Amino acid sequence: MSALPNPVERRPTAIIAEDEPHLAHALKDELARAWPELYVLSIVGDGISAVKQALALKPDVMFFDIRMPGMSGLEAAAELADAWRDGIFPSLVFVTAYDQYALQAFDAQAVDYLLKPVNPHRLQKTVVKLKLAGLNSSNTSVENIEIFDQTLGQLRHLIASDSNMTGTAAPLKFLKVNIPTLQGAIRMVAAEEILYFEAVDKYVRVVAMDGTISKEYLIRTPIKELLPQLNKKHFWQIHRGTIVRAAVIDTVIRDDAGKLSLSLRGSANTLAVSRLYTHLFKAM
Amino acid sequence: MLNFYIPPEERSDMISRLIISMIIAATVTLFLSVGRFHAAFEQAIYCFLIAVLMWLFIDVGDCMIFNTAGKRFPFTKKRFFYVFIAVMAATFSAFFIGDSIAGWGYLNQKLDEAWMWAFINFSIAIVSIVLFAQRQRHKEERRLTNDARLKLLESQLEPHMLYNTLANLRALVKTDSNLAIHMLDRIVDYMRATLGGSRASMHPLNAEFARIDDYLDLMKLRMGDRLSYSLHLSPELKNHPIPPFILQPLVENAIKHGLEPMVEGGKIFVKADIENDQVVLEVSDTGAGADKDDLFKGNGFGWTQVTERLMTTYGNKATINLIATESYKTSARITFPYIIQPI
Repeated sequence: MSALPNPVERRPTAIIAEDEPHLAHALKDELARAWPELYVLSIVGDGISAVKQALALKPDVMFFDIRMPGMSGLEAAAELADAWRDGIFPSLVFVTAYDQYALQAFDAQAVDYLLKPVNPHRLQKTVVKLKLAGLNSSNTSVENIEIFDQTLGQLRHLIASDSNMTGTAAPLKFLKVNIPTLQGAIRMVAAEEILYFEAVDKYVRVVAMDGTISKEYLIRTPIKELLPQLNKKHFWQIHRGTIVRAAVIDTVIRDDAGKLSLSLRGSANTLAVSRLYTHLFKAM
Repeated sequence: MLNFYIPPEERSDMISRLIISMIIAATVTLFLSVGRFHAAFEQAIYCFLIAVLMWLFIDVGDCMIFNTAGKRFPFTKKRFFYVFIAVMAATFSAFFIGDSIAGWGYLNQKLDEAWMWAFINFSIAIVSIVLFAQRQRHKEERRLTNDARLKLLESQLEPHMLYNTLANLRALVKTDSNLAIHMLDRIVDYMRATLGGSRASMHPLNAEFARIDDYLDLMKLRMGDRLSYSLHLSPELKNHPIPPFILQPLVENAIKHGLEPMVEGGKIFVKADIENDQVVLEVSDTGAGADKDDLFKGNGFGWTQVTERLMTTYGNKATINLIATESYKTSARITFPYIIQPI
C-alpha cells in the first residue's frame, strides 16, 4: 500500500473490477506507467463488490471487466448509476477480451473501453480522455448532470445490445404459465392481460389480469430472454429485473431523492424505476 | 425472359458437362462403328451433333430460361417437361443438320429409327441429370460437415478464452517469467491437440485427459483460487479409445455455467472408471448447479455436439446424463461399453 493521497492536492482515484488476478495487477501496473498520479483505491473481483466499493470510496474512474461472476460489468455499472446519491459520477472504462458489444461505437464518448490484452498506446489515449473528463467535472453541476445523462444513455444502449444478442425471437402472443392451485394445469395468458414481469431469484413473476382481478404466476424464462419476444412499443423495461406493459401505468411518483416509482391500474403494487430508464418518464 | 449472364462458376461446370457429352458421343460412335469403320466419320457427325445440341438445349437452355445458375436442384415439373422438349428438338435438329452433311436420310427414310434415338437420348439425359443431382448432394453434404468442423474448432478456440489467456500471458512475462513459460507451454500443447486432433476419429483416453489438464491448468492460472480441480483416470483405461472432444466440451460447460457465475468459484472433478463392463466418464462441479430444465435441454452447442458424437460412435449403447449428486451440484455422466482389447 502506498501512502494515502494528499488531501490538499487531491490525486485522481480509481477502482479496478476484474476477476482475473493477474490481469487486475497488470492493469494497475500499466496505469502506474501511463498515469502516475492516479491512485488505485482498490481492486475487486466481482460486480457486486465493485458497486459496494465504488459507493463507499467514490472514485473518479471505474475500470469494469465486462465478464465477471455474479454480475457483469455492464449490470454493475447500471446498478452503480442507480444507487449513486451525490457527487460526480465516476468515468466508466469497460475492459473486455472480445468485443462482442461493438464497443468501438462508443469510442470518443463519455464511456470508454479497452480490449484485452491492454495495449499501452491505447491506454494512453484513454488516460488523456479521462484527464479531460476530470477537468470538465470541476465545472457547473448542470454540465455534470448532462454528462451523467450521456453515460446513462450509453449504458442503456450497451445493455440493450447485450440482450439483442440472444437473437430476435418470435413475438410473444400467449404466455403459458402453470396454475399454482391446479396441478398440471396451464393457463394461456394473452400478452394484453399482462401487467408486468418482475425477476425474483431464478424465476420471473408475471402479474396478469384474470377477468377483473390480477393474479401472479412464476415462469422460468429470464427477463433477458423475454425482452426480444416483447413488442418494445407496449412493453417497457424500467429496471434490470422489471418489464411493465406501458398501457397499465397509472401515475409516476418522484420521491425526495429523485427516484421514480410507478403505480399501476389493476395492481396495488408500485414498481421502482431504475435511473437508467427514467428518460421514459420525462414530463412533456 | 432469357438470362444471358452465366456466372463463372456455372460456366466451368457447363464446360465439364460438355466434355462429358463429347466423351459419351465418342463412345457411342465407336460402338456403332464396329464392323463398318468406313462409315465411322458420318456416324461421328451424327453422334457429336446430338451431343453438342443436347448439351446446348438442356444445360445452357435450362440455365438461361429458368435462371437456375448455381441452384439446379431440386428439379421442377416444368423444367422436366422442358428437358423432354429440348431432347426432341436437339435430336431432330441434329438429324436435320446431319442429313444435309452426311446424307444418311434419317428424316426422309428412317423416321422410326430417328424416333428411337430420340427416346434413347431422353433416357441418357434423365440418367445424367440423376447422377449429377447425386454428385451435387454429396458436395453439399461435404460442405455441411466442413461447416460443422469449423464451428467445432471455433468453439474450442473461443476468442474470449484465447484473448484472456494471451492477456494473462502478457501480464506474466514481466512479473513471473517462469510461470509465463509454463503457461506458454500449456497453450502450445492445447493448440496442437485442438488443431491436430480434430481429424482423428478416435484417440486414447489419456490424450483426452492430457488436453483437459492443459485446459484446466490454463483456467487455473487465470482464475486463481476460484478454481481447483482434480483428474482421475483409471490405469486400465489409459489406452482405451474414445472419440476426441467428448470430455472437453463438458469441462468447458462446467467452467462456463458452473464456476464462472460463482464469485467464490468452486471445484471440478473429472474421472474415468470401469463399472459393470462400462466405461464411465464423469465431469462434476460444485458450481451454480443446473436447472431441471437444463438437464433436459442440455446446455447449448457443447452438449448437443457431445451427444451427437456419442450416438454416431456407439449408437444406443452409449448414455449421457446430467445429474446432481450429494457432493457436486452438476455432474455430467457418460457411459459406453468397455472394449477389452484396447488399441
